[in-house]
Amino acid sequence: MDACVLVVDDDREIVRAIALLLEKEGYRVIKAYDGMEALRILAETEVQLIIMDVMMPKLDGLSAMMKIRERKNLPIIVLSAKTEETDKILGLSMGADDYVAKPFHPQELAARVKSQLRRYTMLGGIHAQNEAEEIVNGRLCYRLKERTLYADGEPVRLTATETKIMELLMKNRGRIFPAEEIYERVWEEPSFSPENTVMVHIRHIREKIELNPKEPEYVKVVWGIGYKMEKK
Amino acid sequence: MMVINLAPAVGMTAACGIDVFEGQPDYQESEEFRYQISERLSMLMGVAAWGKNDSGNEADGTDAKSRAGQELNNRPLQEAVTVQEETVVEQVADYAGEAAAEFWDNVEGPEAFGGDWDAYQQYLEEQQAYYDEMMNEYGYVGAGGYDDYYGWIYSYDFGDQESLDRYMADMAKDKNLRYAVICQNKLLYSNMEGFAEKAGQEWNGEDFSQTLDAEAYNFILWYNKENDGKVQIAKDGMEENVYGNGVYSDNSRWRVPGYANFTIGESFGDVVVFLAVAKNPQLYMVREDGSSRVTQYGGRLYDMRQNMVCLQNAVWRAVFFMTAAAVLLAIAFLMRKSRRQAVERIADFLRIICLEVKVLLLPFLTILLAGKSAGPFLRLARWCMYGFSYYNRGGDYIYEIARLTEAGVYLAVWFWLIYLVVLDFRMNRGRQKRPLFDLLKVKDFKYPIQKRLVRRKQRTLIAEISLSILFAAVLCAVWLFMQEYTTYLTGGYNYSYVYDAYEGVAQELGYPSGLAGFYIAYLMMPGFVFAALGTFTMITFIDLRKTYRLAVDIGALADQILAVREGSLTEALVLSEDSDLREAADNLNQIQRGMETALAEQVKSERMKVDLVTNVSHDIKTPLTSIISYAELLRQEKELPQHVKEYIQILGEKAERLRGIVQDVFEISKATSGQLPMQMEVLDMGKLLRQTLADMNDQISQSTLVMRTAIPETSVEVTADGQRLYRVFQNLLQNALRYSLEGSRVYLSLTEEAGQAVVRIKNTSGMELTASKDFTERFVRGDESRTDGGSGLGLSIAKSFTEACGGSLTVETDADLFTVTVAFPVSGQEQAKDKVAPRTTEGQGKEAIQDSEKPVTPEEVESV
Repeated sequence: MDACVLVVDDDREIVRAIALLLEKEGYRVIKAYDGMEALRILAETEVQLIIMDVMMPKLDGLSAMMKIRERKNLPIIVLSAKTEETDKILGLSMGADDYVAKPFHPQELAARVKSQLRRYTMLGGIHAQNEAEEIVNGRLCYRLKERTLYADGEPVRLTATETKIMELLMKNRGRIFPAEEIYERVWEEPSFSPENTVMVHIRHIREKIELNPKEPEYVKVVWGIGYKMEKK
Repeated sequence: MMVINLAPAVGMTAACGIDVFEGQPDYQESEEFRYQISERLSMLMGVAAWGKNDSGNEADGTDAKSRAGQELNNRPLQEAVTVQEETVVEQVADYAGEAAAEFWDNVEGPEAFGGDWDAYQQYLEEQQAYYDEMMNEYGYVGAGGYDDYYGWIYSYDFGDQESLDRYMADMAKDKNLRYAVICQNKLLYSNMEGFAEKAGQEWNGEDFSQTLDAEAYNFILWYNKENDGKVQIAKDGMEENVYGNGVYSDNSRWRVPGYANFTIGESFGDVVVFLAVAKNPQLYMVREDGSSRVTQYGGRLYDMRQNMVCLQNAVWRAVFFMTAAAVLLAIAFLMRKSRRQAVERIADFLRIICLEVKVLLLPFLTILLAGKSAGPFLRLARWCMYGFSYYNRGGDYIYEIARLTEAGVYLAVWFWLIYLVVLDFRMNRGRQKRPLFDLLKVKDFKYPIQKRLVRRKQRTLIAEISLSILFAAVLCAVWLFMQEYTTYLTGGYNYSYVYDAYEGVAQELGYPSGLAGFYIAYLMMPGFVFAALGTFTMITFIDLRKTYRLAVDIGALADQILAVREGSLTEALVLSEDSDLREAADNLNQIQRGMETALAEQVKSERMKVDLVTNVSHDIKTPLTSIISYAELLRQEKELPQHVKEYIQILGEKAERLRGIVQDVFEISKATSGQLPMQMEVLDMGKLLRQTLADMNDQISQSTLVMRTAIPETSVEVTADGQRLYRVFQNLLQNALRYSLEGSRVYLSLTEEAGQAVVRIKNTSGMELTASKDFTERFVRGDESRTDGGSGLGLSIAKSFTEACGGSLTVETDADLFTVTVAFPVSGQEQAKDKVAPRTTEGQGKEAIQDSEKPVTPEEVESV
């Protein structure tokens, strides 16, 4: 892997830490400390991914991102100390591919970088597949014939029950399934206190497919109602 | 106000003409005076001649006597016809005059008797007797004296010496007219000092006028002084030319013997008469011995002069009012452009007079004016009905005009009174000065409302009692009147209390117009009753209106209190200024304002707190990112000694915990200030609890604790934000797991109690609990040392989130038993109370409910 990542943050220590982490993962890292500098570097160098802080001097992250989006279609991960939902939504709607709140866990950031890069590089390939045979949902892709779930293009090792659950959820993205229904459909027998069983499997699935299992993005619990696959 | 009471001048047979306009009227210049004097002279001559005949000259005397007697007898009879009407109005100044006038109006004239003088005389005598009786009843004492010509007829018949002497004795009492009658050089009669007692003695040709005061008696008449059968008249010492050209005609001033064509018989040749007339005649009131009656002498001359004075005044008044009217008209015409301004000025002036004075003054003025103007108006009405000359005697139009003017003045006064009242009502309505009412009002307002209400009721009670008393009084009055009326009908005589009362009032205010006023007073009685009734009705009505308004205000106040309770703090309750509840409303408004301010302050301070926390947490997050990142980098270092790796491990954990705390603080500050975004939806509390337990299954199984759950299989639906509620129970369970006594049990139950979904988590605390501690306060924990892993925010977050979702969270401690109760209204019941749901989540919640309730059909599921 020799993907080039541009890290932009006014906090030099953070930039350095991220750079060290990513270099360990095998990425090439270019550092920048404000929006203007990032734009300059982008004009000169080929970059595959950008990690950018929102609050920066000279040109803030969101403005810089808008400038970048005018010409380039590379993945951008936004970092922000603001954790409010509105900030997150604003960042994503302005062209960010992912949003990571500070303080983030380095492993999670690395995973997200990896995920974004995979999708970016595989973008053409995914569309080449027969659409009827696979269900794509964000990072996830479920191939019906193979009965296999792919995350960022890589197959996820799921048990038979987990695969069944994922098939059900991927087929009905956005729909909320009560634990009873999942149990009845997957195990194909009447349920009795299915909550624990289903929850255990869901947790396992999350650990396999989610970048941060504690804050899942795909398989979500709708508290007091059931479970669902978030439609991306 | 000028009240004019024109004393009626009567019997002005003479046209006084221009005289009245020149200073003090000289009554001696009037034709009536000359007529009177001629008559007196003629009469005295008769008396002298009669006496002469009586005293001896039988043959000649009979003739003379009969002639004189006939003359004397006839004259009064003829005059009675004319004089009767004069007398009619003579005493109109007296209150009995009207009755007298009425009486004499009804007396028949001589023509009704077809020239039968005896019958007529008989008739007149009867009438006079009745008249005297009537006048007596009124207390009138002036009638029947020698002055009255009727006296000639009724009191004296001149049939004998005694009768003549009586008449002459009466005449002597009239000191306005001094006389001496001499026959054959013998003084027969005289009323002059020094001569009266010399009657029967020889007259030596003394000049009687020398004994009189020339100033007081300025008119002197001699008949036959020089034995020439002529009359000499001297006025103010000046000899008057009596006979003019010496031939008597209709235009002659004096109708006395001595003209070439007016001579008198031989029998008067030795008669000498002296007359002196007072310049200013007086009334001589004489009480006869042994009689209760007072007889009045000298009235004719006195009245003659008095009438002239009155007439003059009346004319002056007429002229004055006419002039004033003309001047005012002229001014009004000239200043017609500023009429509106004038009206406003008048209205302004009227406004200055306070209402109370006006209310009191108006009835008084009305009654007074009605009393005063009744007479003039009655006369005016008669003029209108019978023509201008109804009261007119001998074409005295000036006097008539004067009386019309009087009526006109009253009309004007009435007009202005009504005009002013209407103007005042129209222009000054509602902005009157009324200090007394205001004082009452202000006084009323000083009391608190409860006292005010009681006082108002008391006032109504007093009004009712007064009304009852008034009705009783009216009943009594009516009864009294009925009694009197019955007495009157049955012909009995009774003392009239009512009339007596009326008399008292009438004397104060002046008599309206005779007896009519008496009946007016009776008529006014019901008027007073109605006025009083109206007043009391008004008091009751006002009270009713106030009560109604109070009821409305109470309603408004109650609504406002409800609105304040519901949280509406912006709209103030505005009651009218004089409302009884004004103060209460103002107080409520102040409370409202206070609450609003306090709330605003609270919101502001909460927002500041959130801002602070946000900024601080942001500032912490950035360095924390570096800490976590470098800790991770360190952790990845491979060649580090084991103990360093442990340090790094601790560093990482603590950094993570710090991250958690920062996040918690941030969230709790947002939740308590209501800024936390909420996704409200209908969810099953039981399911949520099971999910939470399943989610935390690992933690639970790792602990030494045993979970005892009692969650019903049936769904218990509540409306809340599932994510937040999960956080609530996660926190509570973590709390229980963390602080419970090792090996003890944690009880979790869900029940439905009175429309509430109640979740109870009970555990036995590992350490001793302090009873008074509020565990839901931020950073409060059972263990003060803060060495455990908790942030002290768990319960606080749970409480904030629960409340943000519309539920309630309470913590109870009983010895070491720690109970947390979370209660939510069950969804069915919740719907109605939607209004009271947390402020920021209202809209979102509703949408979420609708979304989640949209049923998903099996076909839909299959089709995918």
